[in-house]
Amino acid sequence: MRIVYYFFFMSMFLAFSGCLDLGPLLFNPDTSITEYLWDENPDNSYFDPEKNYYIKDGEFHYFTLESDHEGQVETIHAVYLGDLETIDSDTVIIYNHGNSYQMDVYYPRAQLLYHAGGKSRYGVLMMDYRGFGLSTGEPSESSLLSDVNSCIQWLKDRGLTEDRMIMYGYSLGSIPSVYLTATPQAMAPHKLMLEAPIGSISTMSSNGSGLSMPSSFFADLFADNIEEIKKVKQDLYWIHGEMDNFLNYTTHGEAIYNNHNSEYKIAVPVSNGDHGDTPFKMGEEKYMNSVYEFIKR
Amino acid sequence: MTKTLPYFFLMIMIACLTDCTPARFVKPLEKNEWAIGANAGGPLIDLFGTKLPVPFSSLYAGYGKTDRLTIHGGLHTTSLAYKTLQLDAGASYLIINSAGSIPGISVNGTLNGMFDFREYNARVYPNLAGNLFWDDKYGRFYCGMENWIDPFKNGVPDNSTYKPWTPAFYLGETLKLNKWEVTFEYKNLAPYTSNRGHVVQYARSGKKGAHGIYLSIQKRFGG
Repeated sequence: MRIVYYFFFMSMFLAFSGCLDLGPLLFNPDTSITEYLWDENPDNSYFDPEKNYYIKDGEFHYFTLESDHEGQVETIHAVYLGDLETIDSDTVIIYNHGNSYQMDVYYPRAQLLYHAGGKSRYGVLMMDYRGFGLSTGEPSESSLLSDVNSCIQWLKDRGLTEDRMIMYGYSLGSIPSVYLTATPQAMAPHKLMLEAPIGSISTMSSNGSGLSMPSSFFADLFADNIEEIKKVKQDLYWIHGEMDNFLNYTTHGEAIYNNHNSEYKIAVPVSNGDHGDTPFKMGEEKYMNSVYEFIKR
Repeated sequence: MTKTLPYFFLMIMIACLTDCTPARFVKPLEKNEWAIGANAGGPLIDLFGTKLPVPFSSLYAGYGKTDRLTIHGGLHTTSLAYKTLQLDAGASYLIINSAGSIPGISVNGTLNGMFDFREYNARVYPNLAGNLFWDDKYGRFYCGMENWIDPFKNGVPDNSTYKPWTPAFYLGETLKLNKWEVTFEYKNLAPYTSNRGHVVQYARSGKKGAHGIYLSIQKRFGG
């Protein structure tokens, strides 16, 4: 019996002293950078060697803004591609990037969106969430929403209106995209676009373990896009690589798509796309056309 | 090309909860004999191009209720540090003892209970195993099959496949030194389940299952 008591004592000790949380590990930023390299970033060397997708002179605007999350104010680094003077009449895509590195690694994707449907047709705003790149602070699931919302407010202050605001979320970026579309703060997006989105943290744990395990077994994470998408009334564009070896096409992306119940939605499966390369495996021009067709509809 | 890195700890934690123990009491203890032990290991995962076993651990104890029946329980220590209490309790029963080249046969039934201190979710997964073992002068060689049963059909998120049964096959060698025993075990985990398309990047060339390796140290008392 002594062993039983020992086990009980030890389990209680560990349970109540246990302070480890896997939540912050959802984020994988590179905190070593000292500057953004944009198209000079070696990770972007694969993209556009002929400079077909360059940003027009005067339409690259790197800036910072303040973001307040529950009283914690941090400096968010962001870039706006487009004409600052015409935000009050342009259609603007807010691009929310994935869980790793920093925004200049995602710069080619922003370039494609900027040129979708014709040269420099859309404005694109991309930011580093707090704790990513040069943005200060530590990221958390809920602070993603505050940081993206601060960027929406920045656009609103410059004349953007809801009918011209498009929300685009890739992977981790699908969390603020879906939540801020379902429950808007500064403004409600007109349309929602998701690339290789996270279905839910429970989907991750269930798929990974092979058992019906809730996410609370692993971390203080709440994201459940599969449920949250039910509140979204805006049109939905969903693109996902069918070979996605990280966030499964069926269990993550398609589950979100199926639960979207409003008037219009379009699925863009890319048969040979993996998690990080879907627009490029689809083909840049084809991808940009599909984006354009969805937005102009 | 943008490449999302593995969610390192989240990944190994998810991998571990289901697969972090080797077979226990393949040959049951003798009557009134006690044993305590510790084990570490789990599925091999791909991490930054390197294949690593999940370094998770548990502590366990067993008691020989009769010469054939051993009751046992375990505490999964690493899970607990992450606010999930994972305990297992079960019994191992000797059907026949080994004799020369004739293997001994035992069966083992275990309930794996998990409870988190975040949202107070709880799960209990039964596990049934059958073992063959051969005693020799150095220790014991064994092999067997275990079966995880998932009774929580409604706990699976939309579009995820409910798998009521997940098997694993294993073989191991126990080296004995007086009352001490050291066991090395290999498991072929979930060989009928796809290992692609999710956050855990299992290190396996095929599209199904995972390799698992484990180390146990045990000491016996009394008897």
